[in-house]
Amino acid sequence: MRPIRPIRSRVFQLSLLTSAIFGLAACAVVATLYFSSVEAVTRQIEATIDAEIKGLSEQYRQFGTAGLIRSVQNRTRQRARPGAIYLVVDSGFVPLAGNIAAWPQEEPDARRWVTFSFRTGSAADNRPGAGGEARGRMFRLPGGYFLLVGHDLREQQRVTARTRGTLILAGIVAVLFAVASGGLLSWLVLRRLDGINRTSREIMAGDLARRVPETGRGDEFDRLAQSLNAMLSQNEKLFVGMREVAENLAHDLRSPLGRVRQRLERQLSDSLSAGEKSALAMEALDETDRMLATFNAILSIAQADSGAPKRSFEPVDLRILLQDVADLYEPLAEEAGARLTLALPGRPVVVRGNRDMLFQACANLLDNAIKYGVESAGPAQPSAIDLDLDAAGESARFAVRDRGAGLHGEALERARERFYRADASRTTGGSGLGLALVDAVARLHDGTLTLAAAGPGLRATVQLPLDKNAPAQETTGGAGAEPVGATGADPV
Amino acid sequence: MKILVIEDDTDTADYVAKGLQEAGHAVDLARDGRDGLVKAVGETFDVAIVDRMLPGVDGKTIVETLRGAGRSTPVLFLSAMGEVRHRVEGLRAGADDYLTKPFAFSELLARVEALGRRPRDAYREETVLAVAGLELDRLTREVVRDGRRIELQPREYRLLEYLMQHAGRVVTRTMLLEHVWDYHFDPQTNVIDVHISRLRQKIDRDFGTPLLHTVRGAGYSLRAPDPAD
Repeated sequence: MRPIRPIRSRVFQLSLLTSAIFGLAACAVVATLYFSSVEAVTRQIEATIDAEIKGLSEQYRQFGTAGLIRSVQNRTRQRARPGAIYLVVDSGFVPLAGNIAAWPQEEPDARRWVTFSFRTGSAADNRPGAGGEARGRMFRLPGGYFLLVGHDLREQQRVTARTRGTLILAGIVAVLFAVASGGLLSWLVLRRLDGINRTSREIMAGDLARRVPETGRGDEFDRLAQSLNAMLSQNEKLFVGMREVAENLAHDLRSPLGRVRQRLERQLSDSLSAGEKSALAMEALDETDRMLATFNAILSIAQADSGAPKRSFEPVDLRILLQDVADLYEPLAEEAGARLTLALPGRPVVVRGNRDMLFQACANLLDNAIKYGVESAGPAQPSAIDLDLDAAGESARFAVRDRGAGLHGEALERARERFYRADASRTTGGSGLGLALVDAVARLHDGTLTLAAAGPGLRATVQLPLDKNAPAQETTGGAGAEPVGATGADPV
Repeated sequence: MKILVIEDDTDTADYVAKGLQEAGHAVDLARDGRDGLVKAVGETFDVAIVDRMLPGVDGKTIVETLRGAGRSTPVLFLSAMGEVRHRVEGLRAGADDYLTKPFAFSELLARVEALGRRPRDAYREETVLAVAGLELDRLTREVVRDGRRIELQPREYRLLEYLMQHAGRVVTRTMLLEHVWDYHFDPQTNVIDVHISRLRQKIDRDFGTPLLHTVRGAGYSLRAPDPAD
């Protein structure tokens, strides 16, 4: 992956675009101001000229051409109005009075305004002065005379030129600002994004422990980094979990596969009797059944974790369910040397769930209690297993308690992990998946599995939310057709 | 028995067909759903084994069509999907039993024979089940062997009743869990065996010939002693 270049970056382009839009808007405002002020100045000039014309025409009406010339001469001399231009010429366009050197090119036409070039200098001394543009009106007078009244535009042109210059400069500054702010913004953003990019590349390269840097400012990038990091942590946990499952699975299945292979190999030997051969086949079958059981347990856990069984949830009366489990396991417990005692409340305890999975969970707990809680207590000592159910507040709780060696420290912490076995050598029976499945089933039902040392023994408690909607009598937890009436703390 | 196998996976189909033939059944094989449906509707079979996922017409549709046409051929669903809701869906569509791949052949055979040999609902009307000298009266709930009354716990009674309904055939542990306890789950221990040995003590121990046998690698079978023995 290439590092992001600022020019190509979207942030840069966007901030540039924003600056351009604001710049254009500012230019439009300034241009409007400019043009309307030019317009206003022009109007003012025209109004002044109109007033002059009015005054001069008054003179002309009273005193004739001579009065007009006198008046023009007076006004020119007095310089009362800066920028005012006058010129009176005879029929041959020879200047008689005024403050410009010669009659301009334009045809005299009283009806319209004209803009014309002129040169300063009085009509008398004929010295050519500075030139420029002016605006004004021209009149044809009786007797072949012509009159021009106008206004020097040079001052106004200087002002507009300066304004235009300022505007262009402002435009350049605005563009520079846009580029600079775009660059700064994109640098600020890209710096953060680059951190995320770098982290993801490192993670892709195999370093799962990498995390997106957080500045601690609590801005949106920090929030993004926090959610990304939370996601990464969860993914890492899942990934490591999957890897452990795969490794444990490979480890756990290698030995039974090896044993199956040995038996199949020996079966090929000619020296074996038919009976020996079928005994070997049976052993191989038992091994494969155990391996299949391991796979089934993994699939059941995966299925519970997927949440899919939630769609088939129905009200289940845990009282009936536990009665059935106890009924199934009581002979096994007794054979192992333990008395299974069932304590049920007097009223139905209904949860929403999958009865087969809940049954499996409870069966696994009893399996464990019989396997580890009784045998380790020794045959000399009569043992006991308690299966209790109670409902309090909004949750139902069932617990299996044995009187065995229990679990302590790390073993108690980790017992719910897949493939975890308190016996690290993995030589004792059991797939190490029993409690993991109970935990998964509890989570599927929005509940929890808690393991606690019961001194002596282990107490495994599954807590599930009660079904608030289901009327107690409409439960489907019941199993067989046989009514099993035992309630209260009766031995089964 | 005449058995229809509708299965598109060649390995599974051949394995199932070969095994069933070795067990003495006549097998008709259909490799896709359309062919299978034509055969299932057109001919009469004792049992149909239907894979759930098939090219053409899927297994669920086959069962629904079959039931819609008023045919009550017992159907065993086969599926690679072990999900709870698939099992429920399959049974709801009208299948009589459901087995998840990979399965043990003994399990398949036991289930197929349990489905096929029962004349549908016939045994439900029998009020007295009898195997050799063992009798179970379903009205009085009394069990008698060779004239001697045997006291059974309610669950032992249900267990014996199921075994006697399938007398002479193999019944697997899973079948017992599903039908006697009505739960579908995988026990991690030999929890069923203990129940069987308790039942065996009551019905076999004090009598000369055992009726309840363990079939290694498969399950149990309640049967009258072989006259050749």
